[in-house]
Amino acid sequence: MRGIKISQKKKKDLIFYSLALLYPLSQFCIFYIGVNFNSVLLAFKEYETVNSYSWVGFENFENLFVLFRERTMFRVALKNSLAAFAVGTACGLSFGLFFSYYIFKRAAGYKFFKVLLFLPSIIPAISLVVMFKQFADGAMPAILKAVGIRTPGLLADPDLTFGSIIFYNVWVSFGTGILMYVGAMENISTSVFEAAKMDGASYGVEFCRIVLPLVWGTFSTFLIVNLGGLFINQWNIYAFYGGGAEESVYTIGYYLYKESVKVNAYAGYPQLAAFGILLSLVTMPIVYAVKWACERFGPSTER
Amino acid sequence: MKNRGLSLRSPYAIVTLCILILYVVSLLFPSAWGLWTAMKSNLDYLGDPLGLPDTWHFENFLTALDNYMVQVFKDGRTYYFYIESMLLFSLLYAVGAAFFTTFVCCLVAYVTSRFNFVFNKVVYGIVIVTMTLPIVGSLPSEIQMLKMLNLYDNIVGMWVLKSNFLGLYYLVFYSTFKSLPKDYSEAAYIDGASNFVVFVRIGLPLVRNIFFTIMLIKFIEFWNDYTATLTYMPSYPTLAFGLYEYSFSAAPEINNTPMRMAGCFVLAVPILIVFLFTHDRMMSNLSMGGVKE
Repeated sequence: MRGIKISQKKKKDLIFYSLALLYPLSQFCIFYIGVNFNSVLLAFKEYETVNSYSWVGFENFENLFVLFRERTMFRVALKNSLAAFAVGTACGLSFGLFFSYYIFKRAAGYKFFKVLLFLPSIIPAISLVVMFKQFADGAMPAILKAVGIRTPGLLADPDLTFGSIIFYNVWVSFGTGILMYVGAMENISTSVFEAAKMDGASYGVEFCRIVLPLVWGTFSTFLIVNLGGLFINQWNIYAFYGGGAEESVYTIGYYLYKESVKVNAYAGYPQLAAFGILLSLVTMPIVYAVKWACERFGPSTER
Repeated sequence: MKNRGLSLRSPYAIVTLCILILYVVSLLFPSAWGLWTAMKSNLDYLGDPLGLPDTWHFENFLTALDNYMVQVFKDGRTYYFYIESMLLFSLLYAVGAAFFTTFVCCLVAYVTSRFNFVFNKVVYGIVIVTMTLPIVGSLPSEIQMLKMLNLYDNIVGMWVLKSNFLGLYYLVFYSTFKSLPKDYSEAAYIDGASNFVVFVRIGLPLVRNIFFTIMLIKFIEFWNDYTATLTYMPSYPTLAFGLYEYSFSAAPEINNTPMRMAGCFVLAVPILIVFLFTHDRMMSNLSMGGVKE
């Protein structure tokens, strides 16, 4: 009798469990597995007429190699993507971590700084970009002129344009990271800090020996997610320039996005899908190697 | 409130404080400049790009509102959308997408953390793998798929597209449900409650703070998303897309810095008001262990 009751409960649980997962898993199958499977198929096709594509084997991939050789734009976009990732990640993650430690330690003005650091995350990116654009090319030339530097503007000066865009992206990037880092720091037992204090550990030692190893998981997650977005992140260039950016500020993410949403983009879908597959194949081993390295060589409290 | 005692005598604190002050100045000065520039005449701005307005033109905001307009070409006809329609589309898109994505995350986390089935590991694995798997260039395929399912260019389609359980917030819900005691739900089962009733009456109320925090964060993300119209629903321009169009508009009334700034504040102010009232909830320390109040 008891055995039957247990199995009936299990049966009811299974029905509820299956019904609860029915929609989410169907959505996942269509919009993740289905979309990516379709993307692979698309890479081996060619556009003929509306909604009609024919098989062309590896032609799209061959064309890509030719384009990469012939058009400097691809090399510029690759270089910009790598530079933006390196500078953006190094500055964003490290400053984010230092600021978080300051907030976690509840030092002078920490509440005010926490709100201000988070603020750019909630203001519409397009509002911030418009303000930054107007300030960089409107107010900054006047400010710099007062100290004897003449420039047409931070974005208008071709030598400074991409650097200014990277600066903008770092400038607005701290919000979520700080919430997550401070959340991770709050999870560290207070007794660990008390023991370190009794041993006379300085803040530097406490940060390097206790905080960093214990928030390393959060830090490496951000690093890996950023790395995964190496060729997806367009660094707000579409918000700055719409579809009309100069090739000198192209990133791979911007190029892929711009080409996907332009009018009559469907003719170029196969080429973009092929490009996406190549980039995914390049990024995947790098991401997993970095993930492995973070786990293997990351700081530990035991060392 | 515990004081963790980082005194300003520490070199680390001094250096960080200086950088933070510089950061705050770099954020507040351009914002203040933007605000007073938004109330200048163009002539005044051209004469002195930095200074305060000679005359404060508050009407610039009304001119900006009047010029918030998006043209949409559909089926050979041109449609004009003004701020009221864009506000409606923004609300429908942001509220709906935020609710469905949060609810789906919460539901999947609930069943995979509270029921003991082998498949839980598969779901958890899917979330972890998709978070780190860098898939590039699937946007064309996604647009094709939406068109094939008749979900392209409509708001319901966006709700469906966004209502997935992948990502960080699943982990937040998962670890929260895992950490909650099962006493209440077990008592409810003994009283004859069904699984659905236990989820609605016990599971959801226990995580309602996290639910609203995540929904709020998602709402702001979707409210600010100008690319949704551009990419998936060109016939439903949102306010954020309206500002994107506005910022590139060549209309003589708004093709100058003061009017661009006025337009920018029109979009930012509602979200700043929301932030003013909800910043404590939004900024509660979200971690894989849930929300710390």
